[in-house]
Amino acid sequence: MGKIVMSDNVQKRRGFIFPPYILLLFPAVSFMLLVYAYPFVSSVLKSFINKEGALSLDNYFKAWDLYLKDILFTFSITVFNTIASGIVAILLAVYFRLHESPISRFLLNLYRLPIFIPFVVVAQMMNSFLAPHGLLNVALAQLRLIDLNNPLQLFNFIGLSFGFIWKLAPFTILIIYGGFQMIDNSYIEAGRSAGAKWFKLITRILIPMNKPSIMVALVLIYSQIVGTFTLPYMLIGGKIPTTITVDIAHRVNYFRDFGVANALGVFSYILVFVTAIYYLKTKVKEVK
Amino acid sequence: MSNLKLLSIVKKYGRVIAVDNLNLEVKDGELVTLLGPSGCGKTTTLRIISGFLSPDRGDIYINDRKITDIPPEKRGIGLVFQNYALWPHMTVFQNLAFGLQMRKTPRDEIVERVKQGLKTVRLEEYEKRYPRELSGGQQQRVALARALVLEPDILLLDEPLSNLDALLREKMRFEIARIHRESGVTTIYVTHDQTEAMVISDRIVILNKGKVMQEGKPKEIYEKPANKFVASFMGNTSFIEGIVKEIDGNYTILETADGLTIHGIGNGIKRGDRAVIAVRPENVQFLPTSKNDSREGYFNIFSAKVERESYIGEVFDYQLKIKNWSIRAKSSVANEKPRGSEVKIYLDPDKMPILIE
Repeated sequence: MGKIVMSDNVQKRRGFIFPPYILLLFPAVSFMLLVYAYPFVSSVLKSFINKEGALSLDNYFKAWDLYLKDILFTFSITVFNTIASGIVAILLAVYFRLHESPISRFLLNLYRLPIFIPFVVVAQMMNSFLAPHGLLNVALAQLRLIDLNNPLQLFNFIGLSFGFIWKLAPFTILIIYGGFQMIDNSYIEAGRSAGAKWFKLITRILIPMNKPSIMVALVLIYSQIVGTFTLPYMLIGGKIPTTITVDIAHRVNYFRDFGVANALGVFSYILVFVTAIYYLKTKVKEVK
Repeated sequence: MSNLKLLSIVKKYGRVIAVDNLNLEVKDGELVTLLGPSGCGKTTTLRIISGFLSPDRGDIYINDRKITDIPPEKRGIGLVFQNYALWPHMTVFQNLAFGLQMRKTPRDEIVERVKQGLKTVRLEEYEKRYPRELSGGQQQRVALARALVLEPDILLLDEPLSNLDALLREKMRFEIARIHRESGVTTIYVTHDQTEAMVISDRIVILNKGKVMQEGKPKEIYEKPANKFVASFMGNTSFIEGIVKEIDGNYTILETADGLTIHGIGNGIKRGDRAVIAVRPENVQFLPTSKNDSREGYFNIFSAKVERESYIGEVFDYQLKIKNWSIRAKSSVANEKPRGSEVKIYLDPDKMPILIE
């Protein structure tokens, strides 16, 4: 009895006592702190330090003056490609969920391939495919849809979008289709017996029931697009407008200007901040 | 009011015949139950009627209109699922209104019909709730209301009570029977629970391996099973096997290998047939063991030994041994027979069907 009373007193004095097994978390937490938290906090802090080593907003003013167009370009390309990849993914995932045929089975195996191809390879492929005399322009010329002397210029917003959708839609399908598979057939059959045709079935039942998976998929690809460097660097490079990631590389490689590079990094964080909060909220809800 | 006809329906999965030449007619306002064990073809039949499966052969008619090739959304059939299948992102009101919206019903009429539907299932207060905020029984009633609000020609219920606990299931049986009576909709009910089928149905169709074993009113099926399968499926039946020794007036006499002679009722059975006699616990009467019993000398009186006794509340449930045969019996609580005791029993021949194996 005495022992229990003592232990209660100790609890009251010291508050919560960490159980020893909490040490098991140490490797994972220290890895996260070292590899993610430290660089993140460090880059945010350094973005407020000017060349003279004083605290200031100079880097932000400079980044704003020089790269506002690129920030807006990054935002617009991110939003556009997130939505476009989402639409492509939803359409294909719905097709896979509702249609059982040799074609759908073949496509179901095929769509996963781009997930395993790195961005640098995708960028190289797109370079050859979308070039002024690349496969696409040559094919269109063969079909007499364009004149090869005046080919489509695709190393811009359009080409970049082509690359992003090609690479990211499959990953989006993977998550969204997984969500659709979780929906029991009875919900779909209940909709059909109630008189719903395919469009209503998809928009009123399938998509709302799979909203969490769809939103998580969109948040993940949104963050990925904001942070992608290789594809815009190899397709657009230093042309204006380009993406924030290319600008960061430019500031570091040519000017050793880590202050402005960090400020640009903070702009990227701001772009993904809202979606990150949504993602975390969804995950916490799932755990609860 | 509508009637349904299934003509020579066949459905195969590879070499397995799920539905084998099924013919069925359901009259206006009738509630017919498809009863059978797992894999007997009852759910396949339901899915064929609803249009989610195509038959390999045969036709389906509603009010003499052929619907075999009509898609599910145009058949005018209401479906209630085992898992309720209420759309979780919609409130109760929205769940009920969905089908009406699909039919482009005016807003005022939707409100009125949804309210009427909820009234039918006595859930008027719950229209703003989401399915997750309802109990299993309430969800099932919403599912029923969702199907009824569309005023379907035919209502199909696929094991709608299997996910409920025993008490609620019993309550819901009567609730479904009441709703059916009030709505008058022609209904097909699928279940593997014979008690449920007996309580709810106007008519029961017993299926096994895709074939109709027997169809008829619950009492008729229970009391006059057509074969051993039906007898075993309906009630807690024990069987005694033997050969038909003689047909004596109203009774058929079965003789077992160990020398028992039992009188029963046999239809279409010939002398020399191998057959079984179906013994239901409620048809086993315990006789006083004194020699003064007035039925002494009657046939179907046997000595038995109590092998097992279980107290199940309102009665005692026994397993008795007559020679090499085990049969189940029941007695009132006041008339307990201890395990190991010798008893005398009477098997009323009028209640002992003799069936071909």
